[in-house]
Amino acid sequence: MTPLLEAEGLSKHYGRRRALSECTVSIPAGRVAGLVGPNGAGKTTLLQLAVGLRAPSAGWIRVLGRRPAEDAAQLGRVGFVAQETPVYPNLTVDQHLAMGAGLNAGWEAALARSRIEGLGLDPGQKAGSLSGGQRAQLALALAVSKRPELLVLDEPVASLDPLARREFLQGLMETVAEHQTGVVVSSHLISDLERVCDYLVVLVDSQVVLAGDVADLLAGHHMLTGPRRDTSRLPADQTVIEESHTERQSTVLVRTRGPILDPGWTAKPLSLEDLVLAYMRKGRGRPGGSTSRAGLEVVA
Amino acid sequence: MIRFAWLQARSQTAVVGAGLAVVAILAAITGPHLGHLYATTVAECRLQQNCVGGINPFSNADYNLYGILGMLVLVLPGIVGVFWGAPLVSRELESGTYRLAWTQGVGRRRWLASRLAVVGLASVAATGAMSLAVSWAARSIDLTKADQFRYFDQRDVVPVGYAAFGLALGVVIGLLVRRVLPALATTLVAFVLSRYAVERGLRPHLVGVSHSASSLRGASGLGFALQPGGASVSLDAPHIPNAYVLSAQLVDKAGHPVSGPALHRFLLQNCPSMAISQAPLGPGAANTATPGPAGPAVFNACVDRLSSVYHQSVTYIGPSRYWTMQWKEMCLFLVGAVVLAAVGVWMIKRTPS
Repeated sequence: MTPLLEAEGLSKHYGRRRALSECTVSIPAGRVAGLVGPNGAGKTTLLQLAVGLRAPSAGWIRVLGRRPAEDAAQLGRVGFVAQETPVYPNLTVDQHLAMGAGLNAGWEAALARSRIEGLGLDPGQKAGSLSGGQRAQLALALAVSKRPELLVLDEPVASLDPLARREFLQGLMETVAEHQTGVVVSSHLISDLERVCDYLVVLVDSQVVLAGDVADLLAGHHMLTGPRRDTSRLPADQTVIEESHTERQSTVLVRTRGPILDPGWTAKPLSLEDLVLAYMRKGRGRPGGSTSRAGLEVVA
Repeated sequence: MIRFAWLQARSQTAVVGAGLAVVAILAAITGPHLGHLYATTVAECRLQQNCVGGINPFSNADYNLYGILGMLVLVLPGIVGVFWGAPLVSRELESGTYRLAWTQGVGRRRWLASRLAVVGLASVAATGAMSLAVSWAARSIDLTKADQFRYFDQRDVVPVGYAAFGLALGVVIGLLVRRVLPALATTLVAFVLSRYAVERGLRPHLVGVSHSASSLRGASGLGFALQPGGASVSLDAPHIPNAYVLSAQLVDKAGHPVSGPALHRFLLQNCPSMAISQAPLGPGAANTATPGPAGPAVFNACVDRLSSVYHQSVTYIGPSRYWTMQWKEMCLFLVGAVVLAAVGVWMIKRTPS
């Protein structure tokens, strides 16, 4: 299966500012991938590169096996909901659907109409007077009704209230389940994505610091507590992600493929949020992203 | 795509469409009336060749109305460039909707080409209709004034070229500037400058010029100026009905331009009272002689003598070249529009990255 998104050495500079540095990542087919990272980490840049709104400074990116926005067909295969969900304020909901119909070969008018009806949107209403939640839903309806193979959503829920957030993500999940669409969705909050994604990419300071299947990531990381000890003497297959020590106790977040055999440790369950936050802290502490370390390798 | 481009252009074209309707109604009401006035007075007396003085059957209100309508035709292409062209892409970039528009299943280049086609057609149609209505209704006034080149850029087909050019110029500037207001301002300046440059630099060379000799007798605005180191004669260029006078120059019988000292010598010899009655020529002294101190009789005698040796050589574009010039200048701007549009379509692929 062709990966949803594949990038190697992908970099993007705006003038001298580095927005994305040598990003190498591969998101497998059929996934709902969450792209998480603090504000300014490069999430929007990565997604805009993926939909062809921007061109890479170096490296390459393939989406569904082809160059982003290579031609009309490729544009039709990818649905995009941009940050702050831009719509034309002077056009009505209906006119937006007319736009979608006119610009997309695979447009499904019935699907679009039923979505708008299901959302209770007034087709004659100007998009400029929609609430943030309604606007996001309209943008999603536009992206979904072109029947893309991949949906790319850039912080779609960032400006929504908790209820609208939940409704939006629910709508997204229904679509994914119904049409088997691949998804790459970004957020600066892991809590938004925890429920919906099964693949995770963590971006910190313009670099990928963690990527993988959510279940694998959770199974491969352990939060260990035990009597204070020197972490440099841990087994070779255990990589320390984060550690803290009190006078008598050590708490260590390790990454390992194997089981934890040492009876001195107590393994505590690890939430996805804890895991992501640990990587974000670690990523931040790194010296300015100047080294081109491969994303997943972590030197303790 | 075409339908959607039209959807986006609809509200702006409505404003111009309404203005166009008003102009058309005004033209339809006043045009035939002016035509009747012209036919019964000016046309009549010209036919009989007995027009007395500046015959003028029209009221001031008529002149004012057609002054204003002519100005509308003159500014409409600028309005098209500034308000239709400049925001076409810059508004998408500024408001962020380009992220919606350019991720639909149509490439950016086709997106821009379609929008340019629709708005371009609307611009050309609106300007063409406006110019047609005004040119038709103002015909009686224009024929009476017999100065067709003076209203050259408010009449007939050139406004169409200006509008297409203004639109494409606005779009390209919008692509470069990326913000609506700076794009509007830049487009206005660039449009006015390019119009001015063509009017001054290229227009006189679009068609062949004619030359004629014009006697100094009866020339209007004639005057002598005495300056240190020479003398000069100032006079208005002669009026040739419906022609575009480019230049007029005082020349001798052989057709050579007259130098200041030569003219001064001539005046000293032939009109001593004109040249010498003034204070002696010296550094800093400058005097102008008009029919004033020397008296009209002396002045006219001097003009007589002067015109026996010198005459005015006039370079002009003849009335029959009007339509050639109209088509050529329109085509010039249309070619400019097509080139700019192609540049825009090429550039958009690299925007905004």
